[in-house]
Amino acid sequence: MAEQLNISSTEAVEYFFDRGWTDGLPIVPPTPDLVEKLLGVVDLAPDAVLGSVPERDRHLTAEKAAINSVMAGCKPEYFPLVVAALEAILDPEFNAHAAMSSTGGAALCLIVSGPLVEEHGFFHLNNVLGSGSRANASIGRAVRLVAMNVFGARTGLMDASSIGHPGKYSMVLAETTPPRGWPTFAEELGAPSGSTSVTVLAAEGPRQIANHLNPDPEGWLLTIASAMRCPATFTVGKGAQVAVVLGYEARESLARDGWSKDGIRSFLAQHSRISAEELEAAGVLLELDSAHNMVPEEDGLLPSVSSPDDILLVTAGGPGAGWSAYMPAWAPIQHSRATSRLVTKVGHSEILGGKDV
Amino acid sequence: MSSCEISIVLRPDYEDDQVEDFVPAPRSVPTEPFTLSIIDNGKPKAKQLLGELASLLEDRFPIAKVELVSKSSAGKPLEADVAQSVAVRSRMVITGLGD
Repeated sequence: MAEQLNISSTEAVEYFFDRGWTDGLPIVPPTPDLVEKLLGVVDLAPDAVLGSVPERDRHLTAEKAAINSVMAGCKPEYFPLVVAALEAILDPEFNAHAAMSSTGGAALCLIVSGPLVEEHGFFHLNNVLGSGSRANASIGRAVRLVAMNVFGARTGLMDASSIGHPGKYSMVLAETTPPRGWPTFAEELGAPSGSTSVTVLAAEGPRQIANHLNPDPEGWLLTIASAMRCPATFTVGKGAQVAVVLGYEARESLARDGWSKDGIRSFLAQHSRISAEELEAAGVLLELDSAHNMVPEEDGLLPSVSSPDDILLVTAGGPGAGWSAYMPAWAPIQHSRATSRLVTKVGHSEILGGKDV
Repeated sequence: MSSCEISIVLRPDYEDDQVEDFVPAPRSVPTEPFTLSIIDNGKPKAKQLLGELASLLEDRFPIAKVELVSKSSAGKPLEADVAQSVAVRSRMVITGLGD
């Protein structure tokens, strides 16, 4: 059980700042009654273990998850989603140890799909990756505070981010209902109808992609692919997972034109391939004889995504001329994979593996 | 609630950090020929750097053989069975490469 601290109510926030227990913003003091409310929602014992990071010889209990969720500003009803996200992060495939410590400075990006998006009031249209929604802000913040406080992912300790990015405060991408005929992200993962999934990707910062004038939907995809093959991105030419956010006009135009999500993924995977010459022209030296062996394949090109299925295609974002976005994983596929969980009302989450993400 | 009222809050950080005491293996200077293993973490030029280090050590110790073990990811530990195998075969192991 967590140690109880007797603190003057007016000094609690400063006390937490002084001990390095915040992300730089004030927190909600985690009193036992608030923590108990969160634990009561999921009906987990305080010492129930949600997972561990073996390389750090540390594990996460439901109580510590709840404490950090209270601090982040979560409502009690958010907690099942936080539990599911944390259990996904602690899946060995995700490789939390590396994702939380690398100089690459990854965010713990959550992709939420299902009815909880509306129920909790997530932003899934305008400002889907911006500020203003308690659910987007506090749920993402809760998992980051757990990384910092429970697993030591703090500057000067076990987080060696050289630059980092603002998504390390919170990064939650909530899916909006796809155009008619397209499956939801949760459905693609094999989630039962009416359920909510959460997927976690260790991600670089989002790149906003603009295409305001082209009437041809394929033109939209070419623009997105051009962003995905930017030589300055660490994983380009190596092969990684990426999240692609299809904005309002893009998804509506593509669906109207008969594109399927599988077709879009194949197109983007193919058109984001890059030649060694293009990388070298941008000053990028090819890694050879190392774990990232950048030898061009039969077509003379190198991959930016490891396979079409490694494009996490999400419909989100509100009306506005021509905006989409993408976030690459912070590292090539052999280091970390996105992992998914089904959010359950009580108890632990369930593993989702319908799609290899 | 008055401004100076004491409230109870719960610690958010990890509290179970316990490092068990251990006795390091006795240090000795090897005199018999032995195998040196180097563990390349997969980063660019790691192999070359560790190879140079092995060459320097060969001038100082009776190294009969240098074995190279390459990891597929710098972000993952060496598999336990591989580590065990390396430990059995080697008198000296060099690892711990960063960026």
